[in-house]
Amino acid sequence: MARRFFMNMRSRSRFVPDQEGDELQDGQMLREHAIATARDLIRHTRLASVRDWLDWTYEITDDTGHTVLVLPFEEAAEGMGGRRAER
Amino acid sequence: MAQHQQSSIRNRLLAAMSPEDFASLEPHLERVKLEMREFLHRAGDTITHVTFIEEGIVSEVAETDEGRFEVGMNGFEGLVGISALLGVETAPHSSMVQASGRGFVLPVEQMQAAMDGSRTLRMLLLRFVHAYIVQVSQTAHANAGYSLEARLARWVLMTHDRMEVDELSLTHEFLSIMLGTRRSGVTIAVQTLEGNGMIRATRGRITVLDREKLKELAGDAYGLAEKVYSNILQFPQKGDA
Repeated sequence: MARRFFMNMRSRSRFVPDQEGDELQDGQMLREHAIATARDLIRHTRLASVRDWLDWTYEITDDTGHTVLVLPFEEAAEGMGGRRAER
Repeated sequence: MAQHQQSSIRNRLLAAMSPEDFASLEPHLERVKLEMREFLHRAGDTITHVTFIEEGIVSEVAETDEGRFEVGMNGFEGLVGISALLGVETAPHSSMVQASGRGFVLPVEQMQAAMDGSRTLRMLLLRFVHAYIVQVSQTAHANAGYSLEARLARWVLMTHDRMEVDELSLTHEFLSIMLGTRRSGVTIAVQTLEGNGMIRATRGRITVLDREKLKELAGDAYGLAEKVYSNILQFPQKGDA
């Protein structure tokens, strides 16, 4: 059964809630999904307010509001290789 | 008797045509609704009609292996099916309604025949094509050199220009396609713009609060294409026989 996961983010004192969520067919895929998304952000997305993506963490909740995964981007980036977005 | 009165038309291209040029197209114009997320054509399709937009916004969207992203947008200032004005009837990209509305469709043969028959019509439409090329160039410029916050600010301004309301129905999911990025990136950018008082964001909606601040953030990425377009409409097309 498909489930919705809210990809909230935190960096130090800043919290960025996700109100829309991503729907995944299988909750087991969540970690993989979060890692792939974090890596894509690190590689391609340049934000003025993000000095370093490695300071960010996903704090993912399910539709009942429970935290189901905490993933530091630094952990997602391990063994990633390739280039990071220029700043 | 003419079905459509030029004076009551909102599309700025149709409105800017000489009465003679408009009269040559008028019998072939057919009213259509533009439904949210509807595709007017997909990449690779044969373009059978051009669509003059009266209300709403249609985005030209590139479809790639990496996902979809927007390369250009048109509202009541423009039309969809620009390739056909240049004699190419295969769509390079998809055209998707991003804000519902209405428009007029015109068969490509009638459009091309009318352009062949009238220098004033041809010049007006080619000037519009030029303005559109400038818009697309500015998008490339923004994508290469600007932060996601600046690109979002530009995109909100461009959308706001084409809408009659300040409150825009936009999910972060949709914005992530428009800006060719991950939804999480959009969520951060939206929060930053809101924190600076430029917009108010509620679930699925963005309300424009301060255009001047948005312009400041968008910098050079916004303004040139809009200025080029305005210059075109100052050309004395109307009644300039």
